[in-house]
Amino acid sequence: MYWRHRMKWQVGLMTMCVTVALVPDALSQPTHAEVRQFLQDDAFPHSYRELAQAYDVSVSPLLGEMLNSPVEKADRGRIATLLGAVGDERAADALISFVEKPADTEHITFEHEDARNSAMRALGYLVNRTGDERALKYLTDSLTPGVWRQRGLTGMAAGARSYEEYDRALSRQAIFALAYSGHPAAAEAITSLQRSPSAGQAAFRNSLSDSTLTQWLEVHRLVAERGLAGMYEHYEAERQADGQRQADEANRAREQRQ
Amino acid sequence: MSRHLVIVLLWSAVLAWSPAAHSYSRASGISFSTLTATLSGYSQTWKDPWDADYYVDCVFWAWDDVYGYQCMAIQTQINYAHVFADLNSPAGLHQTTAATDFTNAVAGYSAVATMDGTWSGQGRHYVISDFYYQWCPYNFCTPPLYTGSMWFDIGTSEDQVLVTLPVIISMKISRHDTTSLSMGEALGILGMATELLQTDDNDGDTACSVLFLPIADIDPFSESGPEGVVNDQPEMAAVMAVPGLVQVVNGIEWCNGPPHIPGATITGCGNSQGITVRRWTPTAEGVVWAHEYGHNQGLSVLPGTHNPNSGFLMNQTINEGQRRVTASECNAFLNPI
Repeated sequence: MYWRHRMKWQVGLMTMCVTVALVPDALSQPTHAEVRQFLQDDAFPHSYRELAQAYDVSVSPLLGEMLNSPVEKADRGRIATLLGAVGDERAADALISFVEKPADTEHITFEHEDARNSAMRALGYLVNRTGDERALKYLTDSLTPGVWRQRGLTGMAAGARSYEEYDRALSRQAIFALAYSGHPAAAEAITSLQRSPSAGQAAFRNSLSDSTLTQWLEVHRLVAERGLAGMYEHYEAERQADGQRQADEANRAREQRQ
Repeated sequence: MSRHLVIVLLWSAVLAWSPAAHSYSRASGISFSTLTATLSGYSQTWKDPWDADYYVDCVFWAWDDVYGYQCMAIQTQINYAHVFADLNSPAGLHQTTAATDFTNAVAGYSAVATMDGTWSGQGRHYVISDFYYQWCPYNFCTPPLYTGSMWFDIGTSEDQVLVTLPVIISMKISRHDTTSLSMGEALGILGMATELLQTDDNDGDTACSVLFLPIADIDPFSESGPEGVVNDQPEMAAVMAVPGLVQVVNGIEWCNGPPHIPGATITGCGNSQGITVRRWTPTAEGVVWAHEYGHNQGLSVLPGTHNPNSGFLMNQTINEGQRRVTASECNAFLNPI
């Protein structure tokens, strides 16, 4: 009796523990409506630090679903960005499939173009948060513009005159995303692009200004040293200082004129 | 053939007819658009439908023993409504146009306002009668011969408008040689920028009387990164150095750093050197240009200055709803450096 009683008590305690463990998770699970509201202008953070802390990985499946929902069209760029920033490895598939999502028309809208670019950059965020190998490989492979034809990507940017031109634009997004990743392999990939003997990469490199790879390697260095949030804060501080200097100059010019 | 002719001279009194004042009407209107700094209006003279367009009189009768009275000469009188539409600036006559019509003469005018003050549109209204003479012996008339016209003054009409000229901000626009931007599109974008600044949208907004206008043609340039996209600081510096205030490109990936809001697209970059903007959603391009011009005039976007969604033009994020400017921001637009 004692044993049976003890067992009952133990089972009861275990059940309670499981319930206690599950309840907060269920309570903290964000709803579609909450996430949607977060994505609107009012709430969406301007700083990466806030963005990365806004949700945990439990929001990923919902975001992946929203990314491919026609209802969420207007917010796809932010959905992709948040998906990358929360840092769930499951996000790679959703982001890649969104980038490669077939377009209905030859030229995509500005909104779709921006969302696709956001998804590329989000892959960089994801690598930064998780070191996701699939996302990293996708981005390094993207440094050869010809890969976009192999992937069968359709729908070019509104201003692009050919797929050849748009493929290069997407490969440039891969450079930016690799810089945001701060991953050592990403720096190697960008550096190797600077001297790659492959015809496809050489042609791509020649289409870039000399300064572009150097500039984005500097962004990579800042991310590697300070983290993504630190990199953003560094440039933001510079921008604010520059803005203040220009505001002061403008005020002086107006005062002198009076 | 021997016919005894008794010539009866029945001269119609040419001058006996004059337009009845009540059968003619007159009006003038004038308005001023601050969006284009243009005055426009009209003056109009019209007559009532029952007032005849022409009269035919026999002015010379002859007696024929066989046929009786025969008309030997005809005078035709054709009546037109006529109007002069004068646009008067505070300094005097600025422009005159005129119109003539059988029933409804409307003369419109349009001119860019050149000075503050009261402008008026004044109509000078007339009926013009043209006279033609034909010799008609035994109903075989000669072709009509114009003999002159008479003007009947039926008065004036006037409308006035008080003009306060907006501050005109002239922009020399250039575009990357791979970027498409017509002058019509540029005028549309500048029109949007003008409208959002001039309109008081309440909730802390200030009606800011500025008018953005393009200067000369839109010239192409070749600076920037590949395909007209700015990818780094040297490329941005090269684009900013292109002559002119506004440089239009296909994309911007760098403006004193990478996009400062995660996931955001840089739509414009402005500093004291100039403004670089990318082609974007048409409904928001006016906001982008006005916002970047704000930076060009020393307005900065400092954190905490505005609620992110309070609809202020100088917010960091841009959409077509960002229309409001504070009084001090407006002051920067009104006093360009």
